[in-house]
Amino acid sequence: MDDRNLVGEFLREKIAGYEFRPRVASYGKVVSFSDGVTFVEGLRDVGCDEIIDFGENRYGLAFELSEEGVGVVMLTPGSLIPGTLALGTGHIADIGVGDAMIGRVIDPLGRPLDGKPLRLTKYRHDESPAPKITDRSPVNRAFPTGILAIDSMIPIGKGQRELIVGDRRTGKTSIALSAIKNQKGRGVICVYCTIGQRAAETVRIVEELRESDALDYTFVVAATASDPAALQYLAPFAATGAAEYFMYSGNDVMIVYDDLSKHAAAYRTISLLLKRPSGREAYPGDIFYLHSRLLERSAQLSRNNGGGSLTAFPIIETQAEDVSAYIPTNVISITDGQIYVSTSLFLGGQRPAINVGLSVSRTGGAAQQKQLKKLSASLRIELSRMREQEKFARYGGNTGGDMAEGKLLNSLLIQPKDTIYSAAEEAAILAAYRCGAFSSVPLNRIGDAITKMLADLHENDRALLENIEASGNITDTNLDALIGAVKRHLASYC
Amino acid sequence: MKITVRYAPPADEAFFEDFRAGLSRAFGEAFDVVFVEDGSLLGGFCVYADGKLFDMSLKTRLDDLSAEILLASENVK
Repeated sequence: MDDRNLVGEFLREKIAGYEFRPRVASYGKVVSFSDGVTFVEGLRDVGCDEIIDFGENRYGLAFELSEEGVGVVMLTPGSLIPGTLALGTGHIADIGVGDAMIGRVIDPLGRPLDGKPLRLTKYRHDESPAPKITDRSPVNRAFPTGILAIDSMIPIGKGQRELIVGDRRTGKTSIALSAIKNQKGRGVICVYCTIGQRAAETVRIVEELRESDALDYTFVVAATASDPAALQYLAPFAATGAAEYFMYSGNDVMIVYDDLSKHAAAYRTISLLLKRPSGREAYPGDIFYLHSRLLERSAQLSRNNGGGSLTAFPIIETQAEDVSAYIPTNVISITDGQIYVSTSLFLGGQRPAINVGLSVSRTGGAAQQKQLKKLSASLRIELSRMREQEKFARYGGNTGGDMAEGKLLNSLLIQPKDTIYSAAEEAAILAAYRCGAFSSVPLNRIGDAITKMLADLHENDRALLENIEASGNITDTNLDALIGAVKRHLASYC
Repeated sequence: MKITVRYAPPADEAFFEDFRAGLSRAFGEAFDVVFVEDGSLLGGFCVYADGKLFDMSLKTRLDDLSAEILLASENVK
């Protein structure tokens, strides 16, 4: 039987076996509409978060249920006129999931935005409960970001929620993108969720991911600034629903929410339009719960539950470095640590501009790779000491050698954009610092020295690097060999 | 009670009479029915009554069948 006959047979079989069940749905009529929020009379049997169909490809989300009617936030642009028919679909907001979504750009309703068809047959609700305590395991596996400052001093573990916080244009997104790029070949599926960003910025990020081959294991859920507030509100929940599909299939997943400040603003818009009581900074009373229930869905699952993990990197934009504002403090208290990105460091040329003193990882220490733990034990103290000495020096105090050491350490932590280090490379840089191999290199040439040293190591000591990388640890013999190698390579550079 | 029936043409007087009789059996005598011609249904009808829609249109049947075939074809792959 040729292909055409097979298709014909398949269609005949399906049509013959088709049993029509009349569709019964609740309906109501639009009473009022303004600013993307509509009030519908009727719709007696709809549930919260149910998709409402207004016909002509116009959809909304049932958001406020009351005796008088239903407050619906629109998911599609355009307007409605009073009297328009509204149908309950019986369909709670969900997203199509499956391997086919990897490499794709979709909106929070699962519709492809990259001009190619996408067919998915499994669905997950946007809102679903976080894994139970008994279904979880402690966070004890390292999640390498490829950024020396993070992996050495703010180590992150799989299943952790690590906030990236800082003012605009300080490199928050770059840190998240570097972490995504560093997952290449590690079997981690990455989700980048953009909320309320400019469409041009989203395109730039997608292209950056494509150029670095990161789209081979990443998909993007995008609700841009021009999308309705309801779609922006749904975006992180839909992205998490899709990420959970992979996590519950036993995969390690990473998700970036860029950013939750705009998500909070979208939720505030919806709440104010629905006339919900407003609180501090005009946010509704449940804004904390909104983010806590979202971020609680990130977890390291126990082996009995497949052992998958979801590591979250929410991003929060601050105004004038004010981390004590409402949304930053909320998300800081929800997450397991924060990477604080400082404007002054950024303008001073420190890239990534991570303020190590204000950054913390509350769970990652247990997950840090042993070789890095061994080599980076006192780095935070050394940096803090340098900062204290800096203050002291302003008053003419004698600072001794601490300042020089601190400046050297700062220079080591400068990592050009698109440069990510493997764990073995990070170990080599730290080993070189520990044994004083950088002490004769001028500060302005540290970056070049690192590049040269790593290139030489890859050329001459590849087996040693591979051994450290594969074992995730560094033995005393390997450490001695590494120190010998880095000294040799740097000596030829100085 | 107000009932709206959207139907796909053609329909004759006998169709309307049969429909009224069916509605009386379902909802009693106290109702006002409005018939609205709607070609987009392709065939069949939709009844809007008491906050519920009963969709018996050909368009919905075809949409359902198409979704079912797409789903089955994915499983075949």
